[in-house]
Amino acid sequence: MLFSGATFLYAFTPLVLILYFLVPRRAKNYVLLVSSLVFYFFGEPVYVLLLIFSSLSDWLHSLYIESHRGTKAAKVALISSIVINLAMLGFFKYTDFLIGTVNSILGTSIPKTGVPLPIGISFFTFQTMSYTIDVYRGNVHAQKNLGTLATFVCLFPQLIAGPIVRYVDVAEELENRTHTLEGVACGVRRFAFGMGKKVLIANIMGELCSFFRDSTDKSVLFFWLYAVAYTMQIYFDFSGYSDMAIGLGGIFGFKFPENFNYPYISKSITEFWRRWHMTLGGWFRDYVYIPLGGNRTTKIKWLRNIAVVWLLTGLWHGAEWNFVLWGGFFGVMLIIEKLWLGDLLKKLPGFVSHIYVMLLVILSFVIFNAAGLKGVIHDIGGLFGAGGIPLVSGDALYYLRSYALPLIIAIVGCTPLPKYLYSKLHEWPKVVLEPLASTALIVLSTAFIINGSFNPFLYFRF
Amino acid sequence: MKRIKYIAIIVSFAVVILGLSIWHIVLPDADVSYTERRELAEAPELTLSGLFSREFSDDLESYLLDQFPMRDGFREINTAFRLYVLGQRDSNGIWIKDGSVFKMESTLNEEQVKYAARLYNSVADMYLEDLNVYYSIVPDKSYFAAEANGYPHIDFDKLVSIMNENVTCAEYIDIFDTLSIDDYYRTDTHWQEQCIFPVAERLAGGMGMAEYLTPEEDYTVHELSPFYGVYLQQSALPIEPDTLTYLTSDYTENAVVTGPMYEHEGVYIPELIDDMDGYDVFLGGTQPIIEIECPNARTDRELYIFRDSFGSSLAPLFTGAYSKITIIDLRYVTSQYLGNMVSFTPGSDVLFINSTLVLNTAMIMR
Repeated sequence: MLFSGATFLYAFTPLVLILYFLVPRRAKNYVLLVSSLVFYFFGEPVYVLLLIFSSLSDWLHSLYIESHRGTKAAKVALISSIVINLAMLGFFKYTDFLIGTVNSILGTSIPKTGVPLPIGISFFTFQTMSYTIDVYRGNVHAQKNLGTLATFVCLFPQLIAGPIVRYVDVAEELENRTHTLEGVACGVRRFAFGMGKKVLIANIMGELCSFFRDSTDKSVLFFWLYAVAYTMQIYFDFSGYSDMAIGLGGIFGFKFPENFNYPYISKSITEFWRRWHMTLGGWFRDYVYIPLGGNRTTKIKWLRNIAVVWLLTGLWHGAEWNFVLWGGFFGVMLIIEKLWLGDLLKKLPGFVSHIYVMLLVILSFVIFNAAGLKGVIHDIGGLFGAGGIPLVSGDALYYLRSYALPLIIAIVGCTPLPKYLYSKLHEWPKVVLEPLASTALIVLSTAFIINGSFNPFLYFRF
Repeated sequence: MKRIKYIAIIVSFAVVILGLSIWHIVLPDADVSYTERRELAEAPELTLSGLFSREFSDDLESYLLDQFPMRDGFREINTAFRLYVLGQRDSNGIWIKDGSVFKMESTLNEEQVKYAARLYNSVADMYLEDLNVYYSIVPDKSYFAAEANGYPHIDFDKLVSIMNENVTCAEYIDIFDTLSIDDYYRTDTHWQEQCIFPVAERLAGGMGMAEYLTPEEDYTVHELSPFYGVYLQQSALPIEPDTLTYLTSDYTENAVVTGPMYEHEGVYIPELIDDMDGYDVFLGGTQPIIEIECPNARTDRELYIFRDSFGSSLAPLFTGAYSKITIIDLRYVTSQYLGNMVSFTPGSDVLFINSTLVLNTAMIMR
């Protein structure tokens, strides 16, 4: 079920909201749990069992770890839990990738499994792993109530595309949360703006990318137009989804962590990754990079740690070599910045370092969205005129004209400028503007959902 | 003041979400959407197999979208927002200029066009050895407006040259210069029957039959309105509908139309103006094979037209010149089995006439 689908907006949400606010406090988690399972069942009828298994497995493991704290048995249980989670992720996400790689290297023809990837598996396995690890580390007590833990694992607002919420972030709210007028209203507002970002900007940018793919009249200009449009699409798609998730969490009394902080205003790649998909960055930092020794080790090991984290980050995003290349690209850039470029970037005028970041980010997303490594060569080559394509083409000019305003809106919208300008307003016009804008965004998004078939979620299957 | 704001946000959200949900439940389901020319999804049946195959959830989404309250209004909002707020030059490939609606099609599918040429040749090889074979191409109306207004379009010249290079069985009759943008309906892809006399004259001239055509002044013009053209329906904008015209003469009035799937009488069926496709007024719309017997025709020659929907309004103009016109649509009848259904009289004329839109997706013909 998509947040930006009619079933979610006009069947699931009203029903869940009514039920949730009607039942007594002690039953609220059960409403959330059941509705989350229904939500997942609608998209993945069979894999809902995987979700239940994952909850049960981590519940049992964490109880065992807590009752054997400090012993070798606890460590074994932790390893067992991690192995189970990684095995699930590995089997569903990477088996066919591995088979394909072996086949192409060794010339074998091992048949692929063809097993479809369960939606959101990368998100919920990382959440459950962080829970068990945190219990092992003593950062949090094991949850004794299976229903409560399952509510955390399955919680539909963040189940399939993040943000990656750690148990420790919501442990208190799972047991005892308050529902305030402000919390619900801010949640609704955040949800509506997220919906607008997704449906009114990301989808329109996505259309432009589709037209580029379908066009037989490509040019250097069209490749760049596509690259910028996709850079905008992926930001508004993913951050819009995160906004909707955070908003829905707010309505139900949860405070989910932020996932984006205007990444496109960054002046270095290091800063970019502090602002982009923050919950994933934080996860790799706390559960991979620091345990490996972080930067408090020899330079060689430190470089190795960075390389490991970024290759894993690439692989986490998708089982294709272009994702590995994408992660490796950022790993290399981060190393270059840490070793040589970092100080220079600080001295450069802001706009120069900003152009540097955006050029690299745009190139990185072209790699990200390419169809395998051949696609990377084709798309990156196209940006620089490879293949003798013209500088400008009729299609490029047409779509540039047709999408000029949406592009400008997207570019301005990914900076803090609109929020800054809005903050300058007095409170009284906001009393009218905010309800009006929230409603208008929902109505307008509904109009786009009804009239359009283009409604993918880019981070859906990560 | 913040409290008022919060209440207003929650109430307005609840009114929209709950209001539309309740309205959706209360609103009776519609069977068809005349504005979109299609049947609407029905409420899916809840079965275990449907649930586990995801069929139910997919069908439920389609149902909720299709039966959404004020669906046409929401579609209008979408298109108006794109065109007039975001300044986009088209909406879902539909663009509007001076009240005329066009559909953007910019990719020339060369393989499809070559396939059409091969199909013509193959039909000719199978059935048309002793017949006089001609072909013509109907330009899409964007041919006359896209370039001047900066819209991408198919390279029509290239399409024609591919056909000319690959059709070896027939003589080409060029009708491009006999047409202008005014000869097409504003809201539809098709041409207007009362505007295509020059086309009919050019084709008849090419087949040596110009002198037998019924003169324009012998026709009576009939009007049917409103005619909601296919592009108007796709545009989802409140554009004035067209008036559809059709022409009758003694020849059309006396023509006897039959066909394996033809359930009407005569060459025009005015009551079909209210159907999902108003252009079905001409020969009942999609038909695999139709035979028009013309007892009053000035010659005893026969004509075979391999055509798409453009041919439906063209064929009646030949009823004075040919004693029998057989109309074949290769999208709905397979050429291999044609011999079982149509007998081709040696010495007759054959005209392949399809629009650029059909030639560009020719693999729908068999």
